[in-house]
Amino acid sequence: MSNIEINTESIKDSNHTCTSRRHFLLAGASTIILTTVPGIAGAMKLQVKDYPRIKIGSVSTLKQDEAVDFMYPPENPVSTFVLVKLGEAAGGGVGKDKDIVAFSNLCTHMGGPLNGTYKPKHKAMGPCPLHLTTFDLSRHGMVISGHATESLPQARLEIVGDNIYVTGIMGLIYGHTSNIS
Amino acid sequence: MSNKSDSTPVDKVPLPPKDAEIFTTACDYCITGCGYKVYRWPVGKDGSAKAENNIFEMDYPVATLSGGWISPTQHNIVSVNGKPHNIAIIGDRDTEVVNVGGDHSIRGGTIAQKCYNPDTLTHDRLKYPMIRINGKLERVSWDDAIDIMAEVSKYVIDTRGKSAWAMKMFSYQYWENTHALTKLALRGIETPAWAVHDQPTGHGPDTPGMSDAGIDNFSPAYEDWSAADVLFVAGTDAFESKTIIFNEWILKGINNGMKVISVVPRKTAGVAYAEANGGMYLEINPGTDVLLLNAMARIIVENNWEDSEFVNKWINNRTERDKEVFQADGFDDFKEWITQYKYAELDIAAEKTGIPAEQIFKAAEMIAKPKADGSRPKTSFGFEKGLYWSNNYGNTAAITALGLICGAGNRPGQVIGRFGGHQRGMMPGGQYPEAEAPEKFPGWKKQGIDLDRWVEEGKVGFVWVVGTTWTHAMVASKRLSETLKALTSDHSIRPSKLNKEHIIETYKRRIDRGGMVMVDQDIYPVKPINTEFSDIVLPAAGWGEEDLTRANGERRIRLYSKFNDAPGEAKPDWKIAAMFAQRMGLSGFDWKDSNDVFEDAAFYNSGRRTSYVALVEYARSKGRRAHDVLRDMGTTGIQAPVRWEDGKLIGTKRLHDSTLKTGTPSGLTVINPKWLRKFKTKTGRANLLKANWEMFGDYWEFMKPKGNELWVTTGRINEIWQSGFDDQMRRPYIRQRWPDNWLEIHPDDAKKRGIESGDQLVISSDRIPIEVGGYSNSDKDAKVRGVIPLQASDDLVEQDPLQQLVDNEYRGAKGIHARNTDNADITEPDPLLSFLGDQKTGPNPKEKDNPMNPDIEELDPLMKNLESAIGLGWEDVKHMTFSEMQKNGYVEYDSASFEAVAIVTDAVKKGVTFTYFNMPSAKGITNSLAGRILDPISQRPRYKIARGIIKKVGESKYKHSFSEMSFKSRSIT
Repeated sequence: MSNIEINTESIKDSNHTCTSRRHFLLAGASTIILTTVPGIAGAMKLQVKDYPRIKIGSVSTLKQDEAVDFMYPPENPVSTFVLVKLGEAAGGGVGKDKDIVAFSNLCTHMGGPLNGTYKPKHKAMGPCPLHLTTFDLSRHGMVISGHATESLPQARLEIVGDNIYVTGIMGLIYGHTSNIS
Repeated sequence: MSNKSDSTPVDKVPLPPKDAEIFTTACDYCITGCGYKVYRWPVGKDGSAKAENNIFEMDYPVATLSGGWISPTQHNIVSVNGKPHNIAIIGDRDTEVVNVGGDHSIRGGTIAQKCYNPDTLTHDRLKYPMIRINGKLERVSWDDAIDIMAEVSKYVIDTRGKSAWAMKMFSYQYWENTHALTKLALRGIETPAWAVHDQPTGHGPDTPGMSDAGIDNFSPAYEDWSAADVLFVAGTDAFESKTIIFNEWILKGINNGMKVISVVPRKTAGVAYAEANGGMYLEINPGTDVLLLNAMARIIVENNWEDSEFVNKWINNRTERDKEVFQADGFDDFKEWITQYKYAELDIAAEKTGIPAEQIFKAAEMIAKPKADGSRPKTSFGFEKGLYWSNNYGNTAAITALGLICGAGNRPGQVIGRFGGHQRGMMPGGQYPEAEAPEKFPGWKKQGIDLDRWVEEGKVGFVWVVGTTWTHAMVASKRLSETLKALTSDHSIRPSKLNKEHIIETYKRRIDRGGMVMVDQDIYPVKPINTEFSDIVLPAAGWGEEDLTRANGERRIRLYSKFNDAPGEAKPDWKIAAMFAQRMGLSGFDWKDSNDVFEDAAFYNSGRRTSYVALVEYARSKGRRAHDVLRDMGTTGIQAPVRWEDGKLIGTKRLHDSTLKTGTPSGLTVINPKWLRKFKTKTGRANLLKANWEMFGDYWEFMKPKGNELWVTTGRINEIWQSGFDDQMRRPYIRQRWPDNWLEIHPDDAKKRGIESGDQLVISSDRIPIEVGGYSNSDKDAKVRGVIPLQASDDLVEQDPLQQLVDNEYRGAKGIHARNTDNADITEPDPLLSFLGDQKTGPNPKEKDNPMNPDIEELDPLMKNLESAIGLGWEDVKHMTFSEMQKNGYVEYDSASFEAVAIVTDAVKKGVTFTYFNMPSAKGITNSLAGRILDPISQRPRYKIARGIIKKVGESKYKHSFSEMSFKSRSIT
């Protein structure tokens, strides 16, 4: 959040909205590379950072609708993700059918544990045991119903041969100020 | 992260440093009024994840429920005295009331995004006054805008009278603002052409059946919603629209064994959770609540399950008024009536409500049947718009009667109340000038002007719209939209140059030719009212840009702090009203700041449920500003009526609270009205009302879907506040979820029409009944509607005791007059109740004038004049029913349509569809499908009742999108 440049004159006279908007820009944007995530139809993009790339499973052993938890980022003691093959194409999904996705297990409302709440019928996580929020796993973890102020953070996946790798996270994990300390 | 307008998720958020400034506030949105803290620090001075380097003194990552997490949408960058500052706005983690521990909804949780930041979708905030010249809005100075408005206003009042000067305004957007605006319109101008955002007419209670029973609709405390054994909920799912009342109160109650019965046509998350945990889901057909409630009441009295101890002590055993159509002559009379009344029969209820008879019986059992040991279930009754905006008088009377016979209404965990919609932000600055309004239904009191109809009849020359989407709001009609346009931007007489004299002269000519000048005051461009129609557009400052106050749904008053600059030259509404009033030569508007308004308003309000005059007196006794005393109370605030007892300010947890103990009053103005501990009637006992079906049934039969039609009912959802001006239109995260309007439709109904989720639909109707005419002084108008020529209205002016009281208090406001008259005896027991105690039979003795225990009717003119609709015979009511109005030519038929994306779900009842209630960004006006036929008694709208033909016109782009809109079930359990 450093290097903010602001033209205070332009704020006082925001008739010159364009000038003001340019000067109002948050710094740090230049350090973020945006790449389109495979399978995304809309404008959603992923910030690629220096996340560790680790193997979390294999395509051949992953059964449809079987939720598998894994820890990520690797050295983080509180953050787990769930890997699941939905059986239908999903935003950010990988694999032949673009249906393999992974999401944070911490509810982005108040950090309720979503472990074990995957609903095969709805391809959804939740309801959160705390306040009942549900998330749509086929649409980037978007809130279906409830209170979370962010979508459920989605892991960026990659398949090489039979191996499934996680290479990054879209969104901020509950409780964190940065996913990578 | 804040500074962007797309929905790219980010993975980092700054933390407030140890020395960040903290401001307390409450959410701007729903009734719940959660407490929030705003952390503010200069850009470039962030804290860090180590406890010693951030204001929360916590190491990150923080634990579940810690209340210390800032999500990226909770951060923004704002301007403070022209300098950029970070802000983080999160639920107050220290609070022990309302949103305990910092819980929040998705609306309030993202409220940091509300703040003006030119790099976000808030960039189009209105910043300068503008006037439409040759069809285009041009910037003008405040001075010129106000001059023009004042000149035109004087001309309209001089040439066409006060009632040609109109105001349509929000009823809720902070006390300082509503006080100034109503003081201007009702006390300054004295116009009867005044209405609030959700009603066509000016005044009276929202839930008249409840008021007439003697119950304040916001009497409960939130804790009551967890404290019952059984909670009966009608016309809402609190989860979806007053989220934290659900999360922190109802949900905790359910988890402690409370059973919830939900009466709605749609199963959302809260309804589904309650049903799965021992409750019931009564899937009701829209508008049929009276039949259900009456049938349940009948089952209860037939089985002697009523709470007879409560009934004996707290129900009037004689009618308070003669020849009254609704008021029962005591419980026995009610019992006799309901056991014989056709529209309390179980079979009829089952048929029309669509709820199986055995479910109705089981629900009656749950709420009232004593247990084997003779103990009774503690039952509370909560309701909201699905109930009272369909059959306004009947439904509110019926649910109150049902609650009363179950022993609810005046004690912890046994309450009857609204959950609420928006917060309680109306602070009257004057009384509605009834004498100036032309209608007085035969045998009946004066009616307020129906402002929509008044405009359509060409009676308005100048109208000032403040903070409401009039064209799309609850009583919307195509006819109103077309009229507004024809009288303003489409009128042939329009200014062609930016010259003050030319503009004034042009407007005067337009008014002479039957046109109208419209001012719209808002925070954003709103289609079409200020983007296309309005002649003058004024920019308002709002939440976070001014110190403001109001109360939530348990009457909790907080200070909503200013913490950032308003954009451009935007000004708070109270200030704009004051500038105009002073230009009009009106006195009493020379306030220096919003605290001045707050302190002044207290003296108009001492007898109302939001009374805080004690707080002002207390502050003055300490040489302090009242706002500052309230600021010290932070997010906890204080519950009204505020009392000053034993030297301390005391809040009032609930009204009509038979368990309340009060102390010794301090200060000059003693706040201790009788209704703090008793019901709000003459006797302090509640009235049982007989809710009939006849005054609504004819309309319901007409509106019932025929042929290929389905019910089209509307409501709110968690993610969107009101017209979506802050969120659906301007928060990328919410836009991604709800990029467009939608319609939920049952799978069977969808299949018949070839509809799948994601299809684009057109919903239409060409037989929408609209109430028209009535203001022409014709023989018929005079006979049927009691229309009195306006010039005669001077003769009707009666001395208004309230106004006089207010005047006296106001004039003497430097020192505050004691107002003992509003106060019941404090230390002694009520002799009336002690005397009657457990007696059941015989009329109530006339209460003697007793200075220690005065009769409320004599002493609280507000109640007499504003709160009661009773005193009517059926002949009086019958006149104004739909069938009679049709017969007399007061009904025409309008057409309307809107578009929506289909969501096929069995969460909505078969035969019923559900859509968002007011989304100006949708194509068409959802509310305009509802008829504009007002309740015969309360003159309130019935806008939940609509039906239409649903057709697929193609596929929406969301049908195959992975990034926008979700079609998943909202009731996954």
